[in-house]
Amino acid sequence: MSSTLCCSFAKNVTLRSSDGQTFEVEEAAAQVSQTIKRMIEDGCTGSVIPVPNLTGPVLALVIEYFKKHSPPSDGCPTALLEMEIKDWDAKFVAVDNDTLLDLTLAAHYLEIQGLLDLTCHRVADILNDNSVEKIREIFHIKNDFTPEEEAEERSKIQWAFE
Amino acid sequence: MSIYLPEEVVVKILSELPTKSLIRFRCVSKSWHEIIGNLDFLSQNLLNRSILATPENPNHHLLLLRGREKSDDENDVFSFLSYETLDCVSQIPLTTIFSFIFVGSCKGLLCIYDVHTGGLYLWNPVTPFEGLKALSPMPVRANSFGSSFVFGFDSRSNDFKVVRIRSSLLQGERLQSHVEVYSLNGGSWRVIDLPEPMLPFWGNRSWSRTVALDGVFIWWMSDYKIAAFDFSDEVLRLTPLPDASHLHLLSDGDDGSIITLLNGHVALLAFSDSEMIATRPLEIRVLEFGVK
Repeated sequence: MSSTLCCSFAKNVTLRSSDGQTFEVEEAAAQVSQTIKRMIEDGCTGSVIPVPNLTGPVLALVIEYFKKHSPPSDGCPTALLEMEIKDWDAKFVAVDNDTLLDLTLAAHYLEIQGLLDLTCHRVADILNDNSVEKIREIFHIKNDFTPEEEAEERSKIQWAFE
Repeated sequence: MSIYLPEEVVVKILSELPTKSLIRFRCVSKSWHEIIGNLDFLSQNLLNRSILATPENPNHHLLLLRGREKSDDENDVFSFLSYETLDCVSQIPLTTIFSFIFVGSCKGLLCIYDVHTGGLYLWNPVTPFEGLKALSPMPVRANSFGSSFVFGFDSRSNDFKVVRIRSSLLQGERLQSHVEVYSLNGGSWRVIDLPEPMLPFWGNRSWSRTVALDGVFIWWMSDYKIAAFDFSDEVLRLTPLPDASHLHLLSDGDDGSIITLLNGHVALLAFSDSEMIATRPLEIRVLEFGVK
């Protein structure tokens, strides 16, 4: 078991992205990610924690999220603070589609439940009013139906297209 | 550039979409088609949140209305409305002529009864209406009446069930009540004789006297007792209606009172006895059923 000594000052950890950029962040903030929390508990502190699935720009965004969502040092968050965070969250995911999907993946890999809920909700909002063609474009999905198969499928659920 | 989202993330995103968009997105790709067509996905991620309801059972998140958009339309249209906003979520035109009533809805499946042929059907509204699954015919019973039934889910045996109560007139004017249980997995009906006649209210408003909750069929008997039949252990419990003297209850059931679901409880809505119909107070009672 790793040492869990009590410290009077904030301890930092260093995270390294897939393209080799490093970021220093407070240990308590980084533990918003369950994946990083486990790595810290397994004794990864002191050395650099690799985050191979995230590029530098995405990791930088995720660290912003960590900082905003790290538990406050002085007890419970107030209602006002919660409202402010909600506001901040909404602005945080108001980004272009590719960045939003990168953040969604990052939340999945790093097990950041709050961020995953937030991004999935935002993605669903974007998808909701869009056409099938547009969805393929947003998600970079290849249409693997033959034209006949697609026509048949569409005719079965015509009401959903009206 | 290609972004690969793991299936569990796609499922999480899709499960936030309203029904109509979700169904449309079956056409995006084969893998999305598979996810959205998967019954586990539908029942766990989608339909639990938007359990379909019928006018007969208006306590869920979608209301199902059947009607014509214009008076000179030939065919009916099913409209699914949001229970909160009454916005139309989706519409399905009905292309066959079919005389039926909705028995009830459970986990996204609707149970339909054809009044002409006596046939019972299950319908998953994400499939075409013509793709109804017919259940085995109900047992035919001479001189039977007072039939009413519910559709529900028995979580213990993981099975959908249709439960019907009716009474028959035997020789010597003797009444015998039966509960008939259809199991979707078993594909057949079982008939259970009840120890005494237990008539539900019937007639035009008989739907307002039965309800299914958590695998229990609850009906309001004509002598104001509440009967509760458990789908799984097939045990019957009777609860008298306490202190009903001031309630305006008529034996023909035409008093506006109903038994219904309210916030996960069985509730009785009845008018207190009063001369002015427009101003008489409505009393709501939540019934608590003891465990055995």
